[in-house]
Amino acid sequence: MTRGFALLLALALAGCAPAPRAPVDSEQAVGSGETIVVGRVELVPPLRKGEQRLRGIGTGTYENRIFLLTDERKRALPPEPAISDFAGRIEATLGSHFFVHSRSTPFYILGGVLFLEAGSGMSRAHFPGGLRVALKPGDRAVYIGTLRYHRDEFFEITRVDVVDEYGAANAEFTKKFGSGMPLRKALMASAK
Amino acid sequence: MQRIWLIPGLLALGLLAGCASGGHGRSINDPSNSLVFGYVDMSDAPTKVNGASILQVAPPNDKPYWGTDVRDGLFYTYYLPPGSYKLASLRGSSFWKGDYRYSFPRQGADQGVRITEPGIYFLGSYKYKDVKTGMFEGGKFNIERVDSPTEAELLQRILDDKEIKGSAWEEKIRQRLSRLK
Repeated sequence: MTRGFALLLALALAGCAPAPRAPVDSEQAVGSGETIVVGRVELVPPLRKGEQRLRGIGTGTYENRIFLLTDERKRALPPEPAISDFAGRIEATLGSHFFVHSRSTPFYILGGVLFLEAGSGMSRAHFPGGLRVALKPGDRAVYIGTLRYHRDEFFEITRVDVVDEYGAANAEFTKKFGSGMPLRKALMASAK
Repeated sequence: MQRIWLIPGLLALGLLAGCASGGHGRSINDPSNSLVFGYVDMSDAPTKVNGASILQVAPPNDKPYWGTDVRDGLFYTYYLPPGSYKLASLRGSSFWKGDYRYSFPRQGADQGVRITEPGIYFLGSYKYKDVKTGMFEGGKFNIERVDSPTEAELLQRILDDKEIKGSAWEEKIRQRLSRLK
């Protein structure tokens, strides 16, 4: 287990890990200068029973969840991310849409982290990032696409796609927030 | 080269409880078995190796850890059914330094093998390299691929195993050795 993850886990259990982007449940919860970011992360093939072995106290919250590490500055993640790299992360349940708060400014997805084992040992998988999310001032809600990671049984990433599933996302968005707020499409794109 | 984690002390014993369990009740002569083996030179490590655990990564399994025989850095098991496997951990102990577990990352195909047909699979020979860490940081190590001992030299050593002698593996190993020469 890297020091960053050991600390994150310990701090998370103590309730003092750096805050993720908060999930949004209602339009009223989004203030001026804020945007609801809508997206999804998929693993292909999906996690199978037994591939994630989370047995430590409090580690159940990491089940089937990937952390997307983000920053408003384009940069490379260190091989062993520090606690500060987890600030503003998106905690995404694999295969489900996320709806999270963000400042209405562009940001970068630096990479992803998935806990594979916690308890009798500790290990995690890293996923590539290098994607830009093009939020603009005045955006109330933006759909950024499905980030689809293809992988093998060793969790080697063989392909990364950004897929447009706007129709399904917008239907879920409308059901959750009503039809009064448009969902602008701005798919995450390679940060060149 | 990769950085891998090391857990010293009594904690290792607790973490290992119930992890590895030899051949999972399989017969040594089961025709679906594969022999998987490798070697780690631990001369720069805090301890020698006296146990190794292989993780079955596919298909997922309720008992994914397979124990191995270990002799002077050589580790091997001849019970593995078709699937994908990866070296999960080594363990060792010394009177002065206590018990250690050397954990390998779950992600990546290094020290891994994909078995589609029963056979003999060599994970490689490696050398332990210590990594300096901070006072409050856990221990770390690197493991580097080395050319020696060779696959043939290690198979020759496996032939000395009493269990192998007279089993289906003895002839298979000899055949493999003849192809390697």
